[in-house]
Amino acid sequence: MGQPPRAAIAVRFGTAWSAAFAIALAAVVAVVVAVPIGPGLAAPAAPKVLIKARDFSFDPKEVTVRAGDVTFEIKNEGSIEHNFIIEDGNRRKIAEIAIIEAGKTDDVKATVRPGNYAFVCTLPGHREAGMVGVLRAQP
Amino acid sequence: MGSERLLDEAAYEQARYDEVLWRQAKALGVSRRRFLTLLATGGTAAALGGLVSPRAAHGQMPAAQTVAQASPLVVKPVPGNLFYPFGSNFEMRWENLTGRGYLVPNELFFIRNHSRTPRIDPATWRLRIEGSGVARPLELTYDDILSLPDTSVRRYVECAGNGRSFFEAAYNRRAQGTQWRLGAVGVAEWTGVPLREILSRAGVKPTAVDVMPEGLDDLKVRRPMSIAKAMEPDTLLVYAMNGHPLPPDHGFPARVLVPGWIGVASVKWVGRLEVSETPIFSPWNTTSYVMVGPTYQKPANSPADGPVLSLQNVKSALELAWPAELRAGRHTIRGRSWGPYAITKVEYSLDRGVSWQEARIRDRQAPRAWVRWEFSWDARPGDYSIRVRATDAQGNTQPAIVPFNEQGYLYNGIVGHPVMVV
Repeated sequence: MGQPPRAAIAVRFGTAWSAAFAIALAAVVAVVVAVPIGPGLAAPAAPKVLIKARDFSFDPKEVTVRAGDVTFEIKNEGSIEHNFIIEDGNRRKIAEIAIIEAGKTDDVKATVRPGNYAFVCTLPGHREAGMVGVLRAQP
Repeated sequence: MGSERLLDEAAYEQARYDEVLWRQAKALGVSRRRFLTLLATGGTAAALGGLVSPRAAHGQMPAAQTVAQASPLVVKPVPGNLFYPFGSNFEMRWENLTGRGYLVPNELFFIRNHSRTPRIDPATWRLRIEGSGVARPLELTYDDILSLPDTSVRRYVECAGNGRSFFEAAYNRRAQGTQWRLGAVGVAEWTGVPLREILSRAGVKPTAVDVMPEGLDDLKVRRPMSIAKAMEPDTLLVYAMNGHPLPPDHGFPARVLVPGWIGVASVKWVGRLEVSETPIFSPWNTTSYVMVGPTYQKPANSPADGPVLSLQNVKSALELAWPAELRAGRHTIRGRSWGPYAITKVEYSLDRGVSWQEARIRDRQAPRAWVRWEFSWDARPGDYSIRVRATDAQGNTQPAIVPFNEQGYLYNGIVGHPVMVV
């Protein structure tokens, strides 16, 4: 199991690291799952959802749809490339537009079950810069 | 030593992951002996309730990261006859290297920007070297850097996603990211200060394990490397490129050069070097620049989504337009092959891979650089697909096909270059 290098490195490291990660993770999770589904929300969107991608955000950042087949149309209004990925709570990808050039529009059809999802730009650093939104699919 | 180095990197990464778990275990009161037992049985992560994701620890964006829209994305001219544009990225057109020397001139060099080129005043720029891994944190000015002992090396820099578009050609499915062909690579003569010289002046501790350069661009690119890589003699803090001050698009006033590694490690516009006694994780080595796909397994206990990239691999390109058109008759076809290890053999095929001949290598074989090569071809009218495959000193050869990965990294399969002879 390669214990000598593991042990050697392990002994040399300092402290107070995982706590920071736990706090950071909690913040990320809150964005994805802590928004309740219930009465008072806007009416479910039409089967086609329009989302604008910018440097570095999505507009809107929260979308509610009826579960089922939904087309997501993404317009890149930013000055650089972006992409659009929908992930479930386990970060499994359920839909993808691999790349959208600046100024271009592309769409993807997804079949969404009831639940909460995140939509993100996975290009390096974009998610962390704010390109993450919440998709809620209602029964 | 190539495969050994790769293995060393893998072992190093694994050790980092195990260290994260050890910290969690220790915080929960698990003894060292019990931890090692769990590690041996592979049950550590489960026993600790799963490894929390560390990617955000170094991944928080500073507040107000709004992008100024006034300035162009890049500074240097990027005409269509020299580059293929992809937003803030510009791919070199290989036909412009035809008949040129070993180095790629600055005006032809590809640009890979994660956001726009920052305009930095060297009078106010500072490089901070800090963290638990140094005894004497330093702040250096541009003039300080220029006064330090310098060295010059000829090395290639290549985007990890160079060749990404060929995943779609092979799998009819796009990988995420800029759809480069093969022009996200270039060799320059880089001049600067060995990073180990700077780290030494900061009193780098023997217990230091990671070094993370941080860029001053909008996204603050942060790509850690091992202390061993940082201390290699050709890992530099660069301030000149091909004999000129580093151009803004290539990292002015200073960038890091991490030869043989994926391009993102050579962080541009560097403003800070974090030297740490603990493993450093950022989005740039956990969610991005990792291999995710059906044939890639997430390393045990890893905070990364898949195996973390470090070394590049062997690739080749022809100095021809895409597609190329040639007149019938005899031609000298030229190209270049590169990789982390010296290129020892280059072969070409004019019959779609049925038969292969050896090209003549024109340059001294050197690691972390490229060789130019050529062959003579009596071209008859028709449509051709010229294939090239290179082999390095470790015996690595370009494969026929590369397993798909979501983010489209390290495509080094044999590419058919379309050529029409009229």
